[in-house]
Amino acid sequence: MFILLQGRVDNMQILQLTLFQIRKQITSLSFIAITAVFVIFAETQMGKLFHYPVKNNADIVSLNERGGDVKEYLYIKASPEELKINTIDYLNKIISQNQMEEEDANVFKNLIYRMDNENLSFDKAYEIIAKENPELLPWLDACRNQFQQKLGNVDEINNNIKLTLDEKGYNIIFSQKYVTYIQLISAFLILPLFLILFTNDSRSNINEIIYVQPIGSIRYILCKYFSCLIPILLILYILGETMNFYVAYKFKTSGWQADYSGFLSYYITFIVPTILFLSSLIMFLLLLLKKAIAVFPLYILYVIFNATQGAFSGHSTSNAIYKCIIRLTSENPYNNFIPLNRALYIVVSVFLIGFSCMLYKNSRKNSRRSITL
Amino acid sequence: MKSIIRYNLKLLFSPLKWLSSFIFICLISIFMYAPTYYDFTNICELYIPFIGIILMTDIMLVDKYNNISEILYISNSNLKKVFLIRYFIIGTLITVFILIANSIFLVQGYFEGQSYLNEPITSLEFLVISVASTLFLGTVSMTIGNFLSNQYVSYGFSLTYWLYWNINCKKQSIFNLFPFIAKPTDYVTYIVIEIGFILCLLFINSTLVQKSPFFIVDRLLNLKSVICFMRNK
Repeated sequence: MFILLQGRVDNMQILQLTLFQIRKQITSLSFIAITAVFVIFAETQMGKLFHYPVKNNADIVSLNERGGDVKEYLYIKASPEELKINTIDYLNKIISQNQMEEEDANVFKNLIYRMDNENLSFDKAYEIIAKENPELLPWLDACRNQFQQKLGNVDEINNNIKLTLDEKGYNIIFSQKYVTYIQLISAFLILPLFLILFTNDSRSNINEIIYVQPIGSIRYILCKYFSCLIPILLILYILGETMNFYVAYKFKTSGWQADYSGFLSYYITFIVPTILFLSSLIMFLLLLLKKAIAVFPLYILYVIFNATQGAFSGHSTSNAIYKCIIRLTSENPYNNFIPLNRALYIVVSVFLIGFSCMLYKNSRKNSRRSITL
Repeated sequence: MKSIIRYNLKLLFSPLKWLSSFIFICLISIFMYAPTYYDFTNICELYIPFIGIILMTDIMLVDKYNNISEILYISNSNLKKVFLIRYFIIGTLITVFILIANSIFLVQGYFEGQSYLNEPITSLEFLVISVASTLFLGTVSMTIGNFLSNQYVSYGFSLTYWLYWNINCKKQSIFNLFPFIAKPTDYVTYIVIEIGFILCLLFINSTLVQKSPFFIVDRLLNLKSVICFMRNK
């Protein structure tokens, strides 16, 4: 009975300590700053969703300035007549500015004359040049690339969006983008938070005070770890869910028939295991090496490898089992890859947390037993 | 003068930091994919700034961690001179590390039978581009560390700064950490501006180190009392 009561008192203490640490964490300047950075990054990377569906020209201008994959919605196919007129204007401009050799300019002057008088289409003109002066084709290729598409108007852009989304709403695309970007950003941003967390005791010279407190070292380190992990995960969930809900709300109020799909499954599958693994890795490295500055290059190198594998291997970044960050924007991973990858990193995280607890316990018994250089 | 340099060198000598930075640049030079010298310059400009953060952030905070900042403040030492000497030592170290990275890459290329002689970029250009970016990020990190007396906040800020410009590296701006990646044909002006920023930050830091260790806190408290006074009025 006494043991059971003692156990309940211990659990209460742990809960109280965790809540105290969470309160301390969320009111700290570093946590507020990191949260602000998360919000800013989410806005800069996914701010285009504030302009969907397009309502006016201001939305079109904003989306056009943002660039990226949004262009696939903004541009529509230009008519053959528009392509022809724009090509003639462009070539006339280049000729008048003497940006072309005289001989080539004469060929194009002749071509423009024929396009006007014989009413030749762009394709016909292209065929003539391909036959008579193939070396001048790059000029017409450039014209085709520039003018075969044009910026659509509000209705045309919305129609493009409707065709792409196929009445599924924007929520799935948003969730995929959000989890990809947030995994990459949080990989960098959680480093200072966890470094501050685990070096705080020694910086404040309270190691001895904690040592004499009636709390086990494993329980203490776990309380600290989860008091930082829980607020980060909560913030990322609230941020994602708010944006996801806002997207659905905007589509609904614009009269679109779109299904609302939740964000929770994406969050649990992608963000939680990644942050769990990376934070446990930081904790493990810090408790092993004892110096925050030693963790920095090792961890950064690992994250760089995860985020930009192309820099190491030369070919484009792809999802792989040895990488904890899964990208959903570039390619779709094969069916069993996601559960396999996530399970692996959750298991590794549990092991890392276990090893960290052992390291912390040993370091409390003998503070000199550590790797120091 | 020699003794001051030697003393500060001893104070700044941190085997763990220096070794980890050395390993970092070795790994970059050996394992990163760079088929040409031009690609290698891009990679170094992008990733070597991390050693700027590692080596430079706490060059003036070591006094605080050794509990000697108050003693130094009331002593006769010229803190501005001490700061510039320390900056010079770390700047030299960074340059040496970058030259080592360059040598590793060239030696590796030699054994693989590659010649980088006809590349559009010279070793001097490579050095200037890499050193400028590294010093810039390191100096920004050091300035924040000196202002807030906390190296972890400066790590966070400088990582965020790096991350932002890594994502937007193609956008040429005076604040862009990677002007060569943004526009390889027109980067010289931006490198000069970057060096100007570094000098400006050095001036701010050299002024700050001469002030009392409580200077920032005092100013903030003064500001707070002024605000309270204005409110009561």
